[in-house]
Amino acid sequence: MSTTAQPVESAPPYVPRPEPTGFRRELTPTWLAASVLVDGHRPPQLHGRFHAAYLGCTTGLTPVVVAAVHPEAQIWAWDWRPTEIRILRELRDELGLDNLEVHERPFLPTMLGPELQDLVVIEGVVDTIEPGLRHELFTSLGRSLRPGGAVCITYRTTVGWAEIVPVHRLVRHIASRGHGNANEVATTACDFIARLRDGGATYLADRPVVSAWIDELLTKSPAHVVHHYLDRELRPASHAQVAHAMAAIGCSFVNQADFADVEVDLSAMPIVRGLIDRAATHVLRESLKDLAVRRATRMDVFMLGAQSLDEHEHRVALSNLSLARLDGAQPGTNDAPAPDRVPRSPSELRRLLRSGQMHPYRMDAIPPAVTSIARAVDARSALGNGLRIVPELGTALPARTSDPSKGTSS
Amino acid sequence: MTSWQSLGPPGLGNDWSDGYVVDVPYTEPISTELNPTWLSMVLVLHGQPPLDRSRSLVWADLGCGSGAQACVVAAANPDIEVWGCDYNPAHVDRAQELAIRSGLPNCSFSEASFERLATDQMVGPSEIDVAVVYGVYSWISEQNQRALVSFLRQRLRPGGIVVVSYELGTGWASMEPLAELMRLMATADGRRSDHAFPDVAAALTELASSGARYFPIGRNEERQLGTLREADPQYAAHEYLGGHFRPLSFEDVSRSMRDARCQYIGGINATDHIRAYWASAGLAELLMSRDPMAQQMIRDLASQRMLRNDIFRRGHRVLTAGEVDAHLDRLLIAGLGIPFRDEPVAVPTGEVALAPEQYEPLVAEVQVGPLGLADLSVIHPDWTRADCVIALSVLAEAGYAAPIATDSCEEAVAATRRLNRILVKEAVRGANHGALASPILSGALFSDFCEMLALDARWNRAPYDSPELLARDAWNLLTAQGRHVIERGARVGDDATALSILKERAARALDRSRSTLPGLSVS
Repeated sequence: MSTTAQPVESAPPYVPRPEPTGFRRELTPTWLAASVLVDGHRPPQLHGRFHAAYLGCTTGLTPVVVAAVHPEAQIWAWDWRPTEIRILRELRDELGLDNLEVHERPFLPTMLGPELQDLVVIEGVVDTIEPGLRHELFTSLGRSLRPGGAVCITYRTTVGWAEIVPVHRLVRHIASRGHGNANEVATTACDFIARLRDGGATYLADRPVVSAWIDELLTKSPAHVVHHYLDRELRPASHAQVAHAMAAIGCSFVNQADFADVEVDLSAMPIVRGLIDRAATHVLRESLKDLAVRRATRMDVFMLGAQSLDEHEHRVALSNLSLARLDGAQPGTNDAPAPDRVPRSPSELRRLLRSGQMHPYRMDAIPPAVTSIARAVDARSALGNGLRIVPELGTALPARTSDPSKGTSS
Repeated sequence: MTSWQSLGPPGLGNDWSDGYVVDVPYTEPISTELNPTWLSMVLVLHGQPPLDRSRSLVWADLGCGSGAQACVVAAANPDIEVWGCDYNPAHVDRAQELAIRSGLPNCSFSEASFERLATDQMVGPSEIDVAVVYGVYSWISEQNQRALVSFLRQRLRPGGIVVVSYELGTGWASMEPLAELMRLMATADGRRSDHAFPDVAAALTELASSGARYFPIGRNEERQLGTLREADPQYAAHEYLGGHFRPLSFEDVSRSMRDARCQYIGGINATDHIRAYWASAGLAELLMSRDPMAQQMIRDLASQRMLRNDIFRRGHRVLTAGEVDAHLDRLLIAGLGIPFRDEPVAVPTGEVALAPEQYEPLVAEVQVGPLGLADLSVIHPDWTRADCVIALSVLAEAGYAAPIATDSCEEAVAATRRLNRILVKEAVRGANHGALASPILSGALFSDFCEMLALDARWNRAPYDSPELLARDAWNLLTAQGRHVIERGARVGDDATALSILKERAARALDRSRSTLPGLSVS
């Protein structure tokens, strides 16, 4: 039997890449509520005085932006790494974001934040922390989520990363025995791996995924290697594992916040499509899709008490969803929405949102305080990376992006 | 505290299973590497004291399955107190029955989880000399791994060893998502695991050729995938459908064993002590420049190794060169009735070719009578002592010979005979046994279906004198039982080839039954 059949469309060499560590639009309440709606479920109530928890806040940009654009909400943030916590605390204090509470302990409290949470975002945590802490995390999550609340979990998948794990272990081990500062040992470790591959270590040379990852590693700065690979364990997870853990605390899978299924073109894979069509459970379907496209990361949304919309409800809800064009094709202003009345199906919406051509408008009115906070943030260039706050969209956008023009999804 | 929770086993009414496949018993593998004489030989080759046979040893088979391995060790070594435990009551039931029917007073079993072993001092022996963790560690939850380590920390005697086998990410990594998919499919199927498995394997094979971008996968995994449809469903269900399966690394296991105050000694393979076999010339310098942990990790990556069988010891007492020599001078290996084949020998990190002019005479000679290092140097007077040690190791690794006990007793002969008669009868009736017990080897000897059929005839009817007749009867029995001829781990598809293989095996079986098996006190 051969497993070397290639897809009709020639696939580029596959390189698993680390998740971005900066701000992520898909993790804001505005985007998450819209994505749940687009995928046919009643969205969580994420406006006014809601509560949200951000775990694994990395550079802290996402919870900072969310706290800035939702001043009436209470945002609670935690990371298991002290450096990340310090960065987040300093950013919060500089911007005076009183509604952002930072949990400054390496361990998790029994409850995530002082109140039940309407939204919990867990970014790059479950695929990194050791199993004991992961167990604590899910236990705390089960205690902390309000019925109707949503959880978004991002993680590196076993499909994308399992083959990297043995190499990553060796990289970390070699680095741990190295001399010099972090950047120097990172360089030494990467060079050693390259020499092993050149010397004929077959795991490194024969596996295209592994070899491509090493090539990628060699192009990166030592600081990148330290941040993404030496400072973090690699414990990729599967959708089945995450969904099972969430089911144990009563949550069911709703969708992928980043509409990753847009990339799943099964037209050249009739066998896979048949298997997916016949799959008895959503977990099996998701697992098959991950294998079909070799999906390396996931951004799963679960809800405690998810409600599917019927066709009519879905159509009405979508017609009320306001969208902004971000592609600059129809520049406009917030005061003069573009008269875009083109009816769009959920699949077209997913494609437009995933591609970054459109962004959902927030579903609630903009609180008065937001504008001054946003000005303060932008004035300090506090977000770095050329990001600026866009209150109407409940997010931050690259400064070069045109002002959003408004449309509806119909 | 749990890690990722079990995804649940296939089958109905198994809520107590904790993720393990319990609706169908595991097959009954028996390994010759777990013979006490083999372990002693390997320990000495690694520069360690052998098992101390001057006193009664306590042997613990942790996750013993159906107990065949434990019974073989108990039968061949009446002075060893053997205890096995397993989580699956069906396994323990079978194990107890086999021990009782074989009349093995030194063999007992308990139904217990590793968590219970770690917390209940009343279960199992208070002190253990040899702990065997075979075909278990990669299939249990991290919680149970910790419990197992805690048990070892409490019970392993200073100087005691742990023999642990585990699947490695370097050979299994890309099977991990596929094994999970199989588990999900089998669970959705709802039938008994071994009944669902063939359809699951077919679906996976289909997926592999569908254009899904996950493929191609690693070469070892691809080989695994290629044999799925022909795999024994009973075996494969346990191999692939367990809810906790996870390939591990040497680093994982050695760290765990460190928590049990145990240190890595070496692999269980007879050639593992030969560093020239560790890596290709291109990697040797890189490998040797690193610390011991890195060396093992690099070895595994270099060869995409799938499985490790490691020995850890509580108390790393290094023998002097003189002590090693003294032990090796007493070591004898006996032939196993396998004629020389001009084929490379598999070693953990690849293959080594054997020069026929050097090894053919050795293989011929060891079939005549036991050989020691001194005998090897007589056959090859130009060899150094180190050459002789390597040759002895290679002969054992290749399956031509195995170390023997020089003091086996009548009690062991009688016990192995009782056990072998049961194993042979079961094999003829359809059980997948692949080994018998030998008091001379202090444990197992590989034996195939033809040989067991020949022994059954000799013991209960008229002995075969024609290989053709034996092969024909073997073929008829296998066919009637819905079984197949397996060659190099795969089912032989066409009948003519299968028959031809059976004829070869039948000839060897009759040959072995004349001299080798009596010499090893198997018959």
